[in-house]
Amino acid sequence: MANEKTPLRESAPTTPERAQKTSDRSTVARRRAVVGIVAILVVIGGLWFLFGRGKDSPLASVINPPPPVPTFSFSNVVPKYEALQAHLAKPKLEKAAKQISPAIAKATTEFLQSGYVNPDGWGDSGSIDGYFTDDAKAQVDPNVDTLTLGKDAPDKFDTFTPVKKGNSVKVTALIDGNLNVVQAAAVFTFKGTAANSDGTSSKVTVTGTLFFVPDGNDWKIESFHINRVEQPKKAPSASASASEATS
Amino acid sequence: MTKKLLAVVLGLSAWIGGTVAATIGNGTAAQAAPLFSLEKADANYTPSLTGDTPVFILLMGSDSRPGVTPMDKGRSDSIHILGINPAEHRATVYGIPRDSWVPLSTGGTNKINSAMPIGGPEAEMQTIENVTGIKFDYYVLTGFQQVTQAVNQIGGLEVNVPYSVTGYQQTFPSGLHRMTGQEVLGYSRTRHSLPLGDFDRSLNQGVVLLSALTQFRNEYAKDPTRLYTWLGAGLRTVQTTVPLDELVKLAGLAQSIPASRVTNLVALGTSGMQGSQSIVNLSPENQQLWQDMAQDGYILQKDIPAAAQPAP
Repeated sequence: MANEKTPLRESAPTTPERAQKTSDRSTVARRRAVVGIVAILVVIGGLWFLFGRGKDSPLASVINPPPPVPTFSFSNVVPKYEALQAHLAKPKLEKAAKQISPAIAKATTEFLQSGYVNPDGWGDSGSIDGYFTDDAKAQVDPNVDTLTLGKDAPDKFDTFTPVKKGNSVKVTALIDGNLNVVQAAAVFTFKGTAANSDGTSSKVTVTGTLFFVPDGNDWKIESFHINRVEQPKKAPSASASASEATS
Repeated sequence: MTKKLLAVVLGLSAWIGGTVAATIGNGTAAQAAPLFSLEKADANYTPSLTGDTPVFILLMGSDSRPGVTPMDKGRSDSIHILGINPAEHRATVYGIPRDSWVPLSTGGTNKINSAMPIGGPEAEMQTIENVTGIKFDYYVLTGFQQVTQAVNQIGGLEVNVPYSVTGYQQTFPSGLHRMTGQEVLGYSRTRHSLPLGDFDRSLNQGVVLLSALTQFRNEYAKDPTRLYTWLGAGLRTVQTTVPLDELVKLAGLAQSIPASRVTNLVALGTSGMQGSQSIVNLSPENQQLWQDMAQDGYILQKDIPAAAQPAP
């Protein structure tokens, strides 16, 4: 008997209740782990959504609101005319041309303001097609890259600032025998700087001719010939900045 | 401890190396980039006539003298049928000699140019419709003084003279000439020195029309507001039934029709006498050509009989 080993304490008898409890505990632990991981992912996603998308972030506009959209006007408006009937009095023709010029200059201004100055209009045909006749509207979308700053402009720039001086428009009124202006052409030069917050910018010059026809109390663009030239200027590189700083 | 230190050193090395490489890479890219580059974009749209339906315009030149006869009561000494096919971007200028002996819409048979003094441009147009079977959409009427003024108001016309022509007051050697209004009129009226007389004169008037088309296209491409200069110069000097918006669309269509796609020909016929009058008897072959033109607005050069081809 003395040599008999004391029997090892038998493990607790496995009862069905105990097995069930153990199983429940591991299930809970797994669930907690999954919930934890999901929570972490949600938090990371949320933080990225709020802070990690740069200027696209919803908080970005609160923390760092976009600058107000500048407005511009043509500093130089030149009225001209072309008569469709011979022997009309020159002073009356000049008067008719002078009277209509502000309306044509305004229509040209609003078109350029919507497509070039206001970033919401960049690449968006819907923001400018109201300025065109029904026939010309169909041509807006295929030409939206030139009629506005372009579809890729929102990726390249944040703002467009027109130059203070140097934007000009020459308005030619086509006048019939009753001294009514039946059409008008606006030949314009419009300059500005498109800039990105990273320092990248482009000097932009838009020149062209817009032909307007009356539409109720408005003037709509019936025909357009627009040319845009951009002279990009790269942001200063890090090495260039460093060398500038040391010099 | 050693392993941790090694890892830190390797990590730092990688970071420094990567940064240096990136910096060098940027520097290289910056050096390779040009000092500045220009990006250009264009957008153009001009309303234009479209569709399969041909457009026919009767072009008439009156022999009226200012202060003597109103333009629309003179004889239509210059007659051209302009047919245009918008869909195919083709056109034809078909001249009809003024001495063509035909039944008039105003009654009787006479020279084709004598309907206008009796019944005005509409009677002239009706006469030519009856002769050719072509129904006109519009007419354009001008005169000697008006042609001169119109050409001067657009700043002159560059005419490509196919062969040397001795005019009433001057000679026009073959080649490109910048002509004044008076010179264009002189070139267009010259008849006696031409091999086929009135036939060649009519053909030369077609040459002037094609030169105007070429010049308008070139000017419009450089400065679209030249459209207004041409419209003004034209409408101040002609009488026409073409509405302004249709003229603008025709001008737009002209941008897609180079002169090489316009056939210039004159009606086939033979000279003859009717009493003491020198007349032209139009050839029956014209009927086939007019039918062809009435269908689609144009005649191809290859379909024209040799006798109606331009002089060398």
